[in-house]
Amino acid sequence: MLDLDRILEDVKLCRTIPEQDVQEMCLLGQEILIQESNIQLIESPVIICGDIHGQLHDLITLFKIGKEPPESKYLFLGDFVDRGFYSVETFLLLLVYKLKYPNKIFLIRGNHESRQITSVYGFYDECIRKYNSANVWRYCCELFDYLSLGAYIMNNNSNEDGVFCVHGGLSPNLNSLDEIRLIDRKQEVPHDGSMCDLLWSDPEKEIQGWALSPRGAGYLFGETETSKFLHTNRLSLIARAHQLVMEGYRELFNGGLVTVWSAPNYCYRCGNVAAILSLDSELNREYTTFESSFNEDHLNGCSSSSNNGGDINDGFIGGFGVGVGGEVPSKRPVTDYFL
Amino acid sequence: MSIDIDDAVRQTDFDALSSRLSCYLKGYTPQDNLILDLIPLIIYYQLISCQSEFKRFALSRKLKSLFFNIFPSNLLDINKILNFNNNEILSKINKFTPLKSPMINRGTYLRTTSITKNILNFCNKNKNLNKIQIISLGSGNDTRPFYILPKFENLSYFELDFQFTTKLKKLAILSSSKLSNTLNLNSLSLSNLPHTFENILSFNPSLNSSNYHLIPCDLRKLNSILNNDQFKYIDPFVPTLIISECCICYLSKDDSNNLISFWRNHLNNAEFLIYEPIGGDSSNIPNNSNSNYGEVMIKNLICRGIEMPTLITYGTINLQIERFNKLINIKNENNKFFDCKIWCKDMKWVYDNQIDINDIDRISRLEMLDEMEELNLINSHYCMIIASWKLL
Repeated sequence: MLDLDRILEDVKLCRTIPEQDVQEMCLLGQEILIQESNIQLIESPVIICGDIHGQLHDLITLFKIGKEPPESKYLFLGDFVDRGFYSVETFLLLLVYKLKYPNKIFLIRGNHESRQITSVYGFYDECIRKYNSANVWRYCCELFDYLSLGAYIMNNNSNEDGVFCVHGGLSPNLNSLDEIRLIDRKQEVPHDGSMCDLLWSDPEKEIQGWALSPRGAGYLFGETETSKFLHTNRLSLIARAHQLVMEGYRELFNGGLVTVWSAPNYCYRCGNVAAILSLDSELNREYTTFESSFNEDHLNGCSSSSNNGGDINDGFIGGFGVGVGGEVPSKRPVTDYFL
Repeated sequence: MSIDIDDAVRQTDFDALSSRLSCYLKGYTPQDNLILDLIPLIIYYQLISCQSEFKRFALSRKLKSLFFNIFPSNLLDINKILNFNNNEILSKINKFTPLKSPMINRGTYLRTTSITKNILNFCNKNKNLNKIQIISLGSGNDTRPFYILPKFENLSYFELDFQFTTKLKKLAILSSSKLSNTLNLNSLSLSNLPHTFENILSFNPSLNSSNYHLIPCDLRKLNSILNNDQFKYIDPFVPTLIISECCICYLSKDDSNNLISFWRNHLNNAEFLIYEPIGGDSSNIPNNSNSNYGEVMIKNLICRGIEMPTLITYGTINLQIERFNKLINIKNENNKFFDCKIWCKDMKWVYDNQIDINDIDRISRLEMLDEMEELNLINSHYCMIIASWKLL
């Protein structure tokens, strides 16, 4: 029997969760997610969060600021894993909350919740490093296939003016929320098509209509398309993530769309602040920004870098700092630059 | 600077080499094929110049992983290294080989390609002259001479670096006929090369061919350049391109500016080509988190034992232009008149304006890049400077 409270404590301390527990958690997660629709209906108030990208310590800070579930209700817009050094723990922390309070936390799919992307951007490597096998990666990827593609946040005072939430943006193939509801989502994120677009597209001020995205997947869409979609679907706002914004959030198109970014000092390098968006029961918006708590605490430790088992310090970095007492052997945060 | 810091700076050369290997393996830079011949030889000589066997073992593991574990395992056997089959190595690369991230690959491609393009521009515009020179400061294990020198008969190429770096590069070049032939050199038989710690210690770190020179020196001690026997090969009157690809940014403000002035005073017709990070400007962007980029970079680098003393001092395009105007743009000096030009752009501008659109198209297809904003942010914190002067 899973002891979710113990797992919650362990994950927060960055301790390794046994592979079997992860497998069991992912199976339980599937049972919950399979019942959620492509566009999950959520009652306000809710706190909307953008990309996290394996920055566990900043996620813990985020929960301190917004109050831990079940005290507050959360919607995470995807991209839980990759890039940061703690993707496993980050995803497991979100998953434990989901298992404990399925109606107090909602997770939708980002373009990084995919086998192909995680094999390039770090999650796969991290699983191999921490578990010596790809099993944990596989369990998580199977669960990713069940994640909702979007969410609709209801206005408690009216049937109109809700908020549509998605990781990336709109698709030229999708005019209405109902069309999104028809997608068969239980699959790896495709390379193109409407499901791919929802997870990959970006808004762009300078563009009329649609343009191909420089990312190699999805589209760029402008104000006209956004207004059309808002009007057709009687929405007041599209809330999305997917793009780094230095100030944590950025509203576009007269407040019809917002990008929320919740990974402060992204990749331990970008120097940006992060934000969360609280919607009250009338869907009034309140943004809270926060900075990374990770750097100072952890950088201080890393100058005395020879404390890791048998790692002769010749000045070459890239070894693994192995902690004591069963902690995760985590890669020391060495940030890449062009040197 | 202490020995430790020098060493950390020297390791940045390995970091760059590893990034360029990743770029080559992904198909960004097909012209860089000799990198596969250079790296295992550099690793070999680096390992055998390690005195303690235990250290050597630890270092060998680190170096192998730095180069993505793609080379066959015994890197202490030079005969095996020289018989490595590059096609076999390449055939083992797959999507699970943990190369550098697409963002780093694209930035490395941008840096490599744009600097090479400027070098080729310089060589092409002077190709009818009898003689031209390239002086590469802190060149480390740059592979450009291998593919640029054979293209221009009138070109002499000088690479300046710490003596330990030039020594290992010299040994690698002389061990391989493939490498040495591109530089108008003959390789040496292995029995004529040092293979023990002691022999390497006493090995001469200088190398001269008819058109290629490895000059060991300390760029902070201008006398170590001036009093070097090899300095005589540098002709102060022929057009010269001086490259600093992430080199002078590791020097103190005074050391780097003295080095710039040193070349400004010694050469009559030359240009600097400089690529380096700029920390951004925190002072006049009120309440903007943009300003943190430089400070975060400084903290991250300190963690690796690296300092970049001028990152903030010359943190913007305008500050760099002002700097080079002061140091280079001296129109009238000792009754000599110079034509001087200073140009500086950030690398996002270079990416958007100077890279062939067909080539961007080609590299966009190599791997998916999910980090446009981050790439733009980072590119806007690196710059390219061209500062030229010519005796009228």
